[in-house]
Amino acid sequence: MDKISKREFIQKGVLCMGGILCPNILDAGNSFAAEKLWKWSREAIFYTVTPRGVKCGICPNECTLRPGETSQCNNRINFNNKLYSIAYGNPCAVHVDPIEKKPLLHFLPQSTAYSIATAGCNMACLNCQNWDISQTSPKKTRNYDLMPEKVVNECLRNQCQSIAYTYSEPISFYEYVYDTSVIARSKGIKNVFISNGFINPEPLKKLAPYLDAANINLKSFSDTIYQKLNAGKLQPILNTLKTLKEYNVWLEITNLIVPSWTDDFDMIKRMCDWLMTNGFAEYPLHFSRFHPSYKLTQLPETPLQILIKARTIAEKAGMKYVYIGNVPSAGMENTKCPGCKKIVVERKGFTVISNNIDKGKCKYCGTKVNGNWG
Amino acid sequence: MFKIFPLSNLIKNSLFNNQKILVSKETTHGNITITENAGQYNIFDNGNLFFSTDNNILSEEYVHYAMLQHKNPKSVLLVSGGMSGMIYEILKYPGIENINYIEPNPQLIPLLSKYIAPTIDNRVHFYNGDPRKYIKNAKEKYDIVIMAIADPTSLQINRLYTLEFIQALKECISPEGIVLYGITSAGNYMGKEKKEIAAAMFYNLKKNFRFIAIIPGERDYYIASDSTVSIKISELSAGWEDKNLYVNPYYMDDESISQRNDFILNSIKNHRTINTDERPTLVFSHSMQFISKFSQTKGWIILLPLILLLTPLFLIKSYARGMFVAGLTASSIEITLIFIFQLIFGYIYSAIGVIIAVFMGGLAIGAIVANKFTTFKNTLPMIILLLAISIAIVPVCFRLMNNIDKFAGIIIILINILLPSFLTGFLFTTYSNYLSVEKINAPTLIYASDLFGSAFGVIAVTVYLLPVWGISNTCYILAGINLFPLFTNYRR
Repeated sequence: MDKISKREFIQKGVLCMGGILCPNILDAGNSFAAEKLWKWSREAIFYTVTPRGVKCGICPNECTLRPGETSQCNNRINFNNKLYSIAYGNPCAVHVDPIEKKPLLHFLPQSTAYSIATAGCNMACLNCQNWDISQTSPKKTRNYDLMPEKVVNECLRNQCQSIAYTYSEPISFYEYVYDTSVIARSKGIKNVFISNGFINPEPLKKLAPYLDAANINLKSFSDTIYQKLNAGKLQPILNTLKTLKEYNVWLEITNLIVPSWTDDFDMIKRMCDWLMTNGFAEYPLHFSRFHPSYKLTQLPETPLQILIKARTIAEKAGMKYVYIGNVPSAGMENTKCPGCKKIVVERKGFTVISNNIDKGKCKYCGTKVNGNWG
Repeated sequence: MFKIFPLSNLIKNSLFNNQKILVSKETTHGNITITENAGQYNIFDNGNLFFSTDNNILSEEYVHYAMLQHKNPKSVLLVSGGMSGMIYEILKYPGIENINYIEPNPQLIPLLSKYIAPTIDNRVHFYNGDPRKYIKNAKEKYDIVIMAIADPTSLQINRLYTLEFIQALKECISPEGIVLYGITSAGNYMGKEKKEIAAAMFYNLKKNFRFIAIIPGERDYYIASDSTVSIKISELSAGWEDKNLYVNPYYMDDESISQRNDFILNSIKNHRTINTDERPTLVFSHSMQFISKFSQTKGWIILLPLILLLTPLFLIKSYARGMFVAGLTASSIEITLIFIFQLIFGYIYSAIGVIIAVFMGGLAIGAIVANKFTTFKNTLPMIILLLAISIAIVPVCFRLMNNIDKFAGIIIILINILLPSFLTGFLFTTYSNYLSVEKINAPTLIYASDLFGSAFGVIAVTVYLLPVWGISNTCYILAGINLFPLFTNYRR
């Protein structure tokens, strides 16, 4: 029998362990898969060819990809030095939802939205509720064959007034959103953009004329927290809010309060002050309750008292429509007239109990209540 | 020392950031920590969030989705969740005569009572202990059983989700009785693991009940009965507008519920997963789902233990392979027996020390006794064979333990642990004595192989063998692997 020395034993052992424990070797199939185009690949609208590869221009991540490489959002690949979206017409999630679920409370109340999403997201929030589609590739999800024309037809068949680009991150499937929006607009269907707002100005300005409403998730008011919690940046989101307002897209803003991350009242006050200074007082602000999810399952739900205090801060700062989401409690979802302070829209959940807005004005005092009331 | 370097406190403060730790106590079932933040109490079980107060949605969904299905519910069994407001919700039904609330961790209610006042009503009866044992011995018939337990992410919780448990549960409900389980919501997209979890939930219940309804909400609720069950919660909750904050026609949208119900049913129609005591598929699916949060490629986690199992066998010399295999099977069977203990008795935290002590003791005694035997060639095959037999009889003992009292069960478990460990210790000395005559470093290599085998065995059995193959098959596979050295030609 051959002898084996202790040194040989350790050497072979380490080699063996190293080989086995390197998941990248076993993950090699992914990069191979990414090099191929498929039925749902479309050349991207915004990219630049550079000596280092193609540079995606959709979002501030601005991924530079060598041939065969995939973008951070898992949705774009460099194929022969051209950038392709690989999620065109193949959503993995398709549902009909009440518009209030988005949440959009000042936009076509009691209507339904034909809601679609493909896999992929340009952020990586630790608390993502849709992580199993946002943090993966369209090639790994089970998808529907739903080209833009078909989306519009299905929306009409389901008697929905709008198409919502939602759940994961519509910025990552921009080309699909854009083409669908153009067709939807021509058929009189509204386009609703539920997004993190992490998009570059140029693509946003191209899309904005076709958008009717947006809910932008302003996740915090700290660049550091944005980087650590979401793998994003604050300033581009603030720019997005301003641009959407300039283009008269109906806008509602959601701030999810994550305990120990974004429950700092000083930060909430700074956020509200910024919104006031930049002319967002008339736009609804939703403070949303966090539920344990994804990588933050050890965190408890946001205490109700924190949400109530955040609402008080926002109202004191001058925000006119402040709501608390994900909490069934009297008064949290009602709309008060900014003039006479009476309840003009009484809601319970997704149900409107009473609506005292007539032609966009309070029935009691005639004050304008901002929104698209249908 | 701990006062000077309060490491434990530092870790807890970091874990429960921004929360005031009110109490943190070790119990037979693990650590319970209660924290407070802005008037909200948060209860953690071994560091995992168990529940928080101020969550009306969850309490109302669990209770009313089940209760509204029954025309006149009188008797209710509530498994866990009683301290989070569910008893209050059940008492809203005027016909209620009896609520039996059982909390698996006996120390939870006394600890929580200091902060959350339990609902006192002469119709409410508190029980602490193992729900499996309680169900097995239950004499009464319940109209409603609400399983307000955590997801089956661990073997300990999974024992309340298995086919065997649901069969036992059916025995203690009335002919029109309702059983409700809630698991983490499938959300907007169902990947492979979510489908497997949903399928296991559905088909486990379907095997025992005629009608199953799935109501998606804060969690996904699986409602089972031999009487018809409805997903039209808005319709069922008519008249509850003023009594419930959440479960009432304002919040419930039957059309949305119906769509999501169809979505789940369509997603699982090609999956036929069953979760049993022997094969806890739900734990495996949850493990894979957890892993997918950190790695997009999950295949490696299945391949890893297999490669780990096999690769060293080709790298080490034949005399060390025998000990590698012995270490692998011994550690694997130890883990399997720990699992069986947990399955039968409902806890492991306080017993694990005894089990490991018996295992190590068995190794030591075996190693000492082996010194009296010197004929390697005659002894070795016999010991290997005995070790294989001692592993192969574990499934038989497992079935036996289901039907005997606790004391006898513990004795059988300990014998099952002692035998393989004794024989493994015996093998260690036998190999060492035989080979060290000419190879001075043989004991070192044998010991290293033993530890390598043990490490690989622990990974393989927990990640792959038990969840995929179940208890019996795992034992037979291990017994078979154990025979492998018999075919090795040992030469000095």
